[in-house]
Amino acid sequence: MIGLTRIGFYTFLRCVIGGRRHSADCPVRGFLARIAALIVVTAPLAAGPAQAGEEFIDFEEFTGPRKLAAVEPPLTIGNASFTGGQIVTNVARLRKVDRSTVYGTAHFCSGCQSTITIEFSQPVSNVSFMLMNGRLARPWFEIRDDTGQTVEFRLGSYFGQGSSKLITLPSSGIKKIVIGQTDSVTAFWWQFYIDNLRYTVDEGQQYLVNFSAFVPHDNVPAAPTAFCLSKDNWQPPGLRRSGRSPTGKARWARDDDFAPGNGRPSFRFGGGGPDADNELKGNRRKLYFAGDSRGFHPAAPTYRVRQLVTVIPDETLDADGVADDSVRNLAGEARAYAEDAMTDGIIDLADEDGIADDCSLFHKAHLAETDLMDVVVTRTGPKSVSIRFSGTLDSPLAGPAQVLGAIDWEFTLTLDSSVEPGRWTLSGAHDGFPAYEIYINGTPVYHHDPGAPPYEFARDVRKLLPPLDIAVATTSGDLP
Amino acid sequence: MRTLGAGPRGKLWTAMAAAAVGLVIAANGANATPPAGKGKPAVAATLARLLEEISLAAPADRGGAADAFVTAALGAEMDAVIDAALPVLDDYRDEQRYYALVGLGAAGLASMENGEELSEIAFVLVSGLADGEATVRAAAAATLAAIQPAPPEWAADPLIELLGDPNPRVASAAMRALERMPANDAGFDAAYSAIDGDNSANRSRAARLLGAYGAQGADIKPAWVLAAGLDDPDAAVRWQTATALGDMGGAAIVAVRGLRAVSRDKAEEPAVRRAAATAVNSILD
Repeated sequence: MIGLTRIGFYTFLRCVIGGRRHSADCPVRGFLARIAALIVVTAPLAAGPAQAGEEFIDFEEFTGPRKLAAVEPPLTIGNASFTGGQIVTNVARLRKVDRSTVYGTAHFCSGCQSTITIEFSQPVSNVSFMLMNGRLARPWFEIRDDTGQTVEFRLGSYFGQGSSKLITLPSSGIKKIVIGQTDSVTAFWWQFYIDNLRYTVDEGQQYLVNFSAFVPHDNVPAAPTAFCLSKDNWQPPGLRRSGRSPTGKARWARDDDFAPGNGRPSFRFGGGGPDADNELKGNRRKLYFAGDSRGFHPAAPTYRVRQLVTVIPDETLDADGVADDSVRNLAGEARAYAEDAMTDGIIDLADEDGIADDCSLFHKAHLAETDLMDVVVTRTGPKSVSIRFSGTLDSPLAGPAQVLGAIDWEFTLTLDSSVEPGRWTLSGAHDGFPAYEIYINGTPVYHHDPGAPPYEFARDVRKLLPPLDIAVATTSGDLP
Repeated sequence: MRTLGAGPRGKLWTAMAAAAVGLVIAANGANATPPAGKGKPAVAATLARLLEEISLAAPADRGGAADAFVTAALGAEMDAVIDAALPVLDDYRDEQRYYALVGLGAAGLASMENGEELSEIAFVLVSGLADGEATVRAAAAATLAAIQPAPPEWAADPLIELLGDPNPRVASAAMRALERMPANDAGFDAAYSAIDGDNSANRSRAARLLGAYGAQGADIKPAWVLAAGLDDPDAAVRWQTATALGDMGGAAIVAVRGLRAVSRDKAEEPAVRRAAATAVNSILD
């Protein structure tokens, strides 16, 4: 123990999981090697009987150039396949953290992508790996897996502290991991490396079930009675936003071509009527909410609501059928924008002025309450479980009566592995808006599309009001 | 919102809903402008019939009947919806009381004029807060929240009583109605009490309420109380606290230091850091 304290935790990790290449840094390598062996031997036992075995990839069987040059074809090692980068050895910028062979990508590497993708031929769990930054800057990173789990963090400069991090992904049933930067300069500069990938191959008895509701388009109009009050008079009809002042505020210019009904959103509050002009002269602005701007995908990073649970149908592996601490109820942040954000017909980064409650561009953020969401797993047989996803998520789209206009859903999904192949059965009901999706280990089980945008309150958003609009007829299929 | 006594709609009732909406539009005009005289009773009668159908329909058809009524109410004028819903608010059937309130709330959402007219029956809505059925209580609170420009201040006390309701949806709806009211002492007291509680959802709601009330005045006490919440163990509460401080604008100047610390804390959740940074901008704007 004294020895471990003296050499430091990260040195210990390098010595234990880094193999022979770190032997010079390991003052008690014989002892550590024994500990490493002990960890490798005992890990499958400690991880539970649902896991077949642990695999470890350190790229040491390869030797590459010292500097990234050109992308390589997908590299397959064991169950894992790496794409987007190249094998390199003894990289100068990693001399403080890892002088061995690693897999990396950089903006100067011909054909390399800004992300490294790891795909597994079989679902895996207990994934961990070392991520190292090769840039002078301190970029933000995001790691996503196909189960919906996202890890976001920042690494230090390559020559300073904190340039590497041991990443662990708590999800099970992972088949794909995407590693990339999230800062705005990602499109131009990136350089990062991975090493020491460790994971456990699932035998298949664990199933990660993922339910999400999301808004496919970039914006949704709120109820007519949801508005903000501008602190200053805004533009009359016939003006449009033409740019931004140095302080980030919108600038306005005359545009005779602009008129409500010409394809751009109307400025008229409340859809017209005798009082509309008076209201326009006032300071009342309609609110729009940012959507998730995505299609159906199990690992999509944005959602209005998401529920996750890992179930184990085999009673001999897990008595209650639900993996410990695997239930998660998540609500996405809803961001409201004043009407002037829609002058170009889209809500995007240009509308993020970073100032709340000013009734201009970004106006307000909203985080729904998750205490009315439930995931209940019930064992229905020696090799079958039933999962009930249900919830009601207050939606700011409904304006002042958002509790009436909540996103509501209730699904019952049964997984039965007593037959070969195993079967799933789904039934339930939900509101007609927004989109809904359910996956088992990343394989789609149910999709509901709310229809083509642009969305309107009277046609689309009103479906959040009672009752539930869509009955999901009982469907079934083979377990993935 | 969780439905009561009605499943999803069927095809037959979708067609009925369309017919009902057509009738309402025919009576009200295409842009829902005020009807000329005799259209109102017809609309009210149609709405009343649709509301009654929810209970009369076979269980499999109730969803469609409910959807037909809510759709019609959404396109109707408030006085017609009131005429149809008011007699039903003390009905013995839970689903009738519930959907009567939902219809009122839906109409209140549809236009400012409807929301303002809703204030005329605020006393009836407040009596619904004491209903024996939790779903009806939640609907009553949500419909109160739809009153424009704000729910009456005298409704604060019964709403505050609901904050302790065993059904969290009722408490949530009550808090939403409270935060739309002018700042009042009873609301402040309730928020100060809840923000020190054990329930993280209630702490989050209290932070939101304090932000809404604090934004209405120059009192800095809410800012001091909220600033302490930046250390809450629950990330959702910290997010709500930072956002509420931003809502308060200049009145939360005392919290800028704490917010800046949160926005720079590398160990903090990214969403909370972003909320804190936005709050600093909003306070100093």
